[in-house]
Parts: sequence; C-alpha cells; structure tokens
Amino acid sequence: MPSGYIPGALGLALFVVLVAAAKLAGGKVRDNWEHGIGLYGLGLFLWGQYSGLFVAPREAMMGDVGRILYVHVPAAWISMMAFTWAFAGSFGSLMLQAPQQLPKILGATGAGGALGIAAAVALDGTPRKLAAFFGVLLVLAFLECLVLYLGHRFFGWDADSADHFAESSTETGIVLGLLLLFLGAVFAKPTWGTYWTWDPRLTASAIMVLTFVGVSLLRATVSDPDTRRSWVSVATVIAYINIPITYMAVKWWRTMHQLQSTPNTLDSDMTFWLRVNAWAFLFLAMWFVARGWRIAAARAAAEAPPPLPPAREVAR
Amino acid sequence: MSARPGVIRQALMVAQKDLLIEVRSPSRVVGLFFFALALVVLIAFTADASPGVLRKTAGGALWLGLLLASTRALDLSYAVETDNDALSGLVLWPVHPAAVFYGKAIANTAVLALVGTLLTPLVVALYSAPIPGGWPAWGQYAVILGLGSAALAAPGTFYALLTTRARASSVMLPLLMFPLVVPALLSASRATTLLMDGDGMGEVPGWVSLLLAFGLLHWSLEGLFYGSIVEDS
Repeated sequence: MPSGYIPGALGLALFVVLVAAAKLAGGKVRDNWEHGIGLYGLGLFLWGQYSGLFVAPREAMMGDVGRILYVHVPAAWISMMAFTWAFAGSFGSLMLQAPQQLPKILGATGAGGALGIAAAVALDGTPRKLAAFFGVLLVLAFLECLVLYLGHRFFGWDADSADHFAESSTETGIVLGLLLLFLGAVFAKPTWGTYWTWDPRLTASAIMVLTFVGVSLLRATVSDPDTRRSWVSVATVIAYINIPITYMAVKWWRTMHQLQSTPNTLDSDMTFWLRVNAWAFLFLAMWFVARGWRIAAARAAAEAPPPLPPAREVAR
Repeated sequence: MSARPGVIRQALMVAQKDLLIEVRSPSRVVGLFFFALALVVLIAFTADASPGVLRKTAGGALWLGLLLASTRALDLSYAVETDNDALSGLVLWPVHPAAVFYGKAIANTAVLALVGTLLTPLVVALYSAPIPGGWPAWGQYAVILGLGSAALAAPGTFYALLTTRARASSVMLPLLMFPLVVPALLSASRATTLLMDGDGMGEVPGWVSLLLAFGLLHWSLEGLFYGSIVEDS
C-alpha cells in the first residue's frame, strides 16, 4: 500500500496552484478556482467511499458494520477542523479591526512563543509543561497573525471578509457535525445495542454542534452588519475555547460509570483508506467553505445600502 | 471635580446599584425563588418518587432550577438598563465596560446564590436529601453554591446583553447559554448530589476544581470581550 499522505499532498499542491493562478490570471479563474479543489475532493471521495465499502478488509470484531468508520471518523476530524477555521476567522475578524497593529503583535507573539519553547526545552516537570503550553499557544497566535497579515496585504482581507470566512466555516462544521452525530447513533446501535451511549466524545461533539448552532442563529437574529460581525466573532471565540472544558467535564462524568473504550489498532490497509477518505472530506470542506465565503461576501455586498447619489445643485 | 474612581471601585459601584434595585423591589427575588421552587417540584414529579431515586436527582433539580431562574434574572437585570437606554448612559459616564460587566456579574451571582440558599432547605426536605457530615460538608456545599452561581452568572451576564438586542431574544439566551454552561451545570450538580448521596471515592474536590476552572475562564474571557460588545450595542 502506498502512503496515505500522497493524495493529500497532491490536493494541497493543487490548492496552492489554483490560488496562485486565481491571483495572477484573474478572469474566470479568480471567481471559480475553488471548483478545482472541489472536483478533486469529489473524485477522491468517490474512490475512497467505493474502496471503503468493497476493497478495504473487513473489520475483525464488527464485520461490515465497521466500514462506517470511513465516513464517521473523517466527519469527526473535518467538522472539528471546520470549527477551528471558524475560530481562526472570528479571531482574525477581531484582530483585523486594527490591522495596523498586526506587525507589533507579530513581534510580541513571535518573541513570546520562542521564549516559551526555549524555556520548555530548558526546564523540567510542571514548569516545562506550562512553558510548552503557553509557548505553543503563542506560536499558534503568531502563525494566525502572520496569515492575517499576509492575507490583509496581498488579498485585501479585512474584518468583514474574515467574518464571512467564519460564517461559511461554521455552517460547514455544523453540517459535518450533524452527519457525525447521526452516524454515531447508527454506529452505536449494532455495536452497543443502543442509539446513544453518552460516550464522552460523542456527547461533547453534540454539545459542540449545539453551541455553534446557537452562534449561527445569533448571526441570523442581529440585523446591523457591524454589530453582527463583532458579536458573532466574540461568541465564536468563546464557544471554541469552551470545547476542551466541556470535553473534560463529560469525560469525567462518564469515566465514573466505567464505559468500555474501543482499541484503535488498525490494519495498515484500513489506515490507507481512512486517510484517503479524510483527505476527500477535507477538500470537500475546503470547497464548501470557499464557496460559502464568496456567497456570504456577495450577500453582504447586496445588503449594504447603495452609495449616495452625487450632490447636485439645488433647484432654485 | 473629584477624581474618577478606579475600575474595581467602579465595578463595586455598579454591583451596589444593581443590588440596591433588588433590595428596593424585593418582589423580583421572591418571584425568582418561587419560579425555581416550582421547577424543583415539577422535576420531582417527572422522577420516580422513591427516596433513593429522589436523593440522586436532588443536585440536578436544584441546579436546573437555578439555571432556568437565572435566565429570568438576567432578562430582568438588563430590562432596567434598556429602559431609557441607561446602559449607554453608564458607558458614556464613562464607566469602564469591564467594570459594568463585573459589577453586573457580581450582582447576578449574589442574586443566584441567595435564591439557591433559600431553595436549599426545601430541596433537602422535598427530595429527602439531607447533607450528612456536619459543618465541614455544609461548608463544602456553600463553596459549591457560590462557585456554581458565579459560573452561571458570568456567561449569563455576557450573553443576556447580546440577546436583549437580538430579535427573538427570549429564545436566543437559552440557545447560546445552555450548551456553553454544560460543564458548570454538570460539575455543580454532580458535586451537590455526591454531598447528599455519599461521596465514596472522594470525587467532590475534582468537580469543585473543574467548576473553579470554568468560572475563572469565563470571568476573564467575557470581562475582556464585554467592551467590544457594549460599544456596538
């Protein structure tokens, strides 16, 4: 079996080429480049799903039921990723309210992150963990600000366009999350004999999807565009940061009741097909998000009040 | 002209203002108490009436009652501010936005803790769930009640401001707030139930620290963001 990373590397290369072409060539490519990545994802999806159903080996313990893995696990990974994009977009929307501050923030987070990582290398025990935690957090903030700075510089991103990205990512995440929950229930019935097991991961996912549905409805109920942007951005950031603590709480709640866990040892063939399907979901999600981003921007442009007519001389 | 008080002093003044309103119109706290009590009674009807089952439900009933009462309390807390656009006046004074948030959150915490305290003897009686273990256990209970009220009050104070200005606000507040406060509700009700039903494995401190972590996270995050929310409202 070849490495499962090859289809992903090809797709990411295609993504870079398409974005570069859209930037340089203009014209039709500029408005439709995401269909290229979408078609690639769709092809990968058909190949991966067919192989998952008919080519991949049967699961030893669960039999053919185990094949749901090739949809369930990618949906879980990529919905989480879409919510991460939503967080990045909303955080970016807040940062881009003052884009002139970005170089300063880049310096601060970069220096802080390097310091934290250096401290983590030098220290031991609990201080090491703390330094590594905050170091990694600052490095991530640095990378986010770098992307924002480059996007602002070369693609003209502002607070509004980052918010449109968050909007379409949230919607994609909710769709994938609902798919994940539905498949989780379908999966649980033959394996555990009940539709819902209150398994910590599934329960935390359900709460996560509910949280983002709330955020999405908030967007639908606020009419002023500027107010909506800042409120939804803040609500998305809070909803995302709340995920780990929800997961921890639900996990503790369940471990008190001794739930069985499934061993995650997979045959290498199965790993390959799982990776193919995960890449397929990723590129499809990128397609949805990019398309939704464009639609959200177009909707906002249509909502905006028309420019004032040029001043005329008042008739005497 | 006297110097403007610092942010902490401002927050305490806002809290004092909100609590003064509660004291001068005590019917509000009484109304909240009876609302929560009605919920506690109704939850008992939906559970099995045998004492063993009721005792295991008591913590959940208490915190569910408090959570639902808190949505009413939060609506009231902003109803006084939206009349005559008092909130804009407060922010333009200028009171620091963080001070407005912490002041209102402190006042809401106090109201919730008071309702919870009034509710406690009734829950103990109705659910036949006495707290064994004497004063140390009651001390733990008081800590849980305080931390739990604070953990519900911070996200509540934050999201109630958003939803008072949104359309369909009475639906939006629970939609935004309930999924978010799941960890707080879970840890507070588990800890309470364990105090009442016996804590064989010493789990209460773990739940209390989770409650504390949730509270710290939300009190800091939402205090940080309240400014950008208030200015746009």
